[in-house]
Amino acid sequence: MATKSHAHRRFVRTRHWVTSRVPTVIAGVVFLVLWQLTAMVIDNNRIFAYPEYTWRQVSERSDTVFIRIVETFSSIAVAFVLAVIVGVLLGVVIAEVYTLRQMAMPIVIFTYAIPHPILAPVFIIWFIVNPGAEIVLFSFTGPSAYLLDSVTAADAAQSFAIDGVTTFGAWVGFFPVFLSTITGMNALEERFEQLGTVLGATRWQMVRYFRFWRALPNIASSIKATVQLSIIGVIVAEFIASSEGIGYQIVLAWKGADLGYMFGVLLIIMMGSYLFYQTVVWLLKVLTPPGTIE
Amino acid sequence: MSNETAEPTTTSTDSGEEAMISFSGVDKIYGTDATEETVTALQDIDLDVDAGEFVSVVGPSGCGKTTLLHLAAGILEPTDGTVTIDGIDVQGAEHDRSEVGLVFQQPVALEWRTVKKNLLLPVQILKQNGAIDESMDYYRERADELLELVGLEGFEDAYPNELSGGMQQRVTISQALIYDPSVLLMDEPFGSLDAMTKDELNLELLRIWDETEKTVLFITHDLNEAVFLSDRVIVLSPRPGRVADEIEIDLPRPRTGETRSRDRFVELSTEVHQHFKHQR
Repeated sequence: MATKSHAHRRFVRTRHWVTSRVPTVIAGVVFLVLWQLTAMVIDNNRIFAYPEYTWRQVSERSDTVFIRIVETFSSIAVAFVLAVIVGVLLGVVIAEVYTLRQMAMPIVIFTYAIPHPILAPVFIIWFIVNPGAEIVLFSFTGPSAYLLDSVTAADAAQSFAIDGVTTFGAWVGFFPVFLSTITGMNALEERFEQLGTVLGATRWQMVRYFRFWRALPNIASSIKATVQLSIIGVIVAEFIASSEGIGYQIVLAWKGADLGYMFGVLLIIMMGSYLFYQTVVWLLKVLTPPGTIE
Repeated sequence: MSNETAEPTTTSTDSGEEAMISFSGVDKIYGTDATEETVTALQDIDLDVDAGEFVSVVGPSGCGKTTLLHLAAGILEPTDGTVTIDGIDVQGAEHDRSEVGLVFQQPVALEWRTVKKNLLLPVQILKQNGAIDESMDYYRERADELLELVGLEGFEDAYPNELSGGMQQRVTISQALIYDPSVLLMDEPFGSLDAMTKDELNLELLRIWDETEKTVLFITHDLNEAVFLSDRVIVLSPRPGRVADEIEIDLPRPRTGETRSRDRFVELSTEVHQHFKHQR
């Protein structure tokens, strides 16, 4: 009897899981149908590629796409981590030191007002003129080398490096984290300040036990924005000045008017970004106290 | 406010009768800058609270009740005069932080910590600063005892937003009791609770006070609550706040729910109400 109700509960849960995903599946099917219909109306793979043609173009170069995707998302991961760490650390310092905040904020707001992409070439130049500026965190032989005979180990070697592309990605992603850290740290309610005074808490203790935690929900939601921004930053940098990564593959497809390949690459970037975003959200949920993220 | 003024009072401790909390000639003026308009919140406050005494302060809103409490807690600095706890100036370096527990009107439980970890927060800070000596294990055990004392056993690992307002306020009181301060400063701790919960927590507070023999300075705007709890009720005048009246509450202890229906309670309550009315 008990096992039956247990099985029943599991059945209900599974059914709920399936039904809640029905709209997503329908949306996917509708997307594919619309894509196919539009392609049939235009009927020109150079203006609007057929789904089947897109698939063929990408699968023909699956090894390259795979390596480049790994390359780009490695850069994105490094850029993202850099943005979060530097953003939080600098945010804490600026929030704590009043005079520093008075000096820094006008500069920050001014810098933030510059459209980001116009700065990408600057970052690239810094790191090309000065090759030693690239800091390789660690290298590994990409998985594709083991999967595909056509790729040499050297081609497939990936490195998690801080170069022009990653620094630019980090720069773009840095601002939301930095600004929300400052806002959150300064949002601590007065009674907690008073509690700190009564207990004789030092400034560092106030940060460690109160302010940082008060800022955490702000930081967590800004980190979600940083995911998107570091992806944009890295791919834009690859567009402009790199011969690496998936961004360069888009440039190649564009130069060759290869719309099928471009569509395929875009879809893969979308999927990669989605996975990356969901991973970060999951990590935030696991690592922060309940209620930090709604 | 220097150590020179604190010195003689410290020595007089040996003579026996020494106030636990003492305000002498205290003025508090806000906005002492030449540019600002100044507001005198408190004037000429002379007030002694003996060790183990329960004293309530009532007065019209804006009369400086909370200012008085914050002066005792060392959050605010008196413009004139001194505030001492156990004979030591609260503004001085000698002031022992572990002697004073402050209970706020709103819960100060941090929502990102569990109930038990919230209780241990003051301990972590005081211990790092060398204000208390016992081991963390000692305080962990004490936290469990306290949670039992305030009726929160089983909620150690709950987060504050999973608790009701009354329960959160119990956490806040336990947070002030964990390091066993000899003085409890309470700023309308039950002001935001419903009448039933308030009565219940009043009884509980008296039980804890009785068991722990603490000196309590209690701020409230509820005159019946003040009469019910206290040995002495201080009535402050409207701004600038001065000690306008002192009423001894000679109701027998321990006080129970029944105390409220005694003739003497009604008499004293009426008396405090009248004193209070004169201050309007």
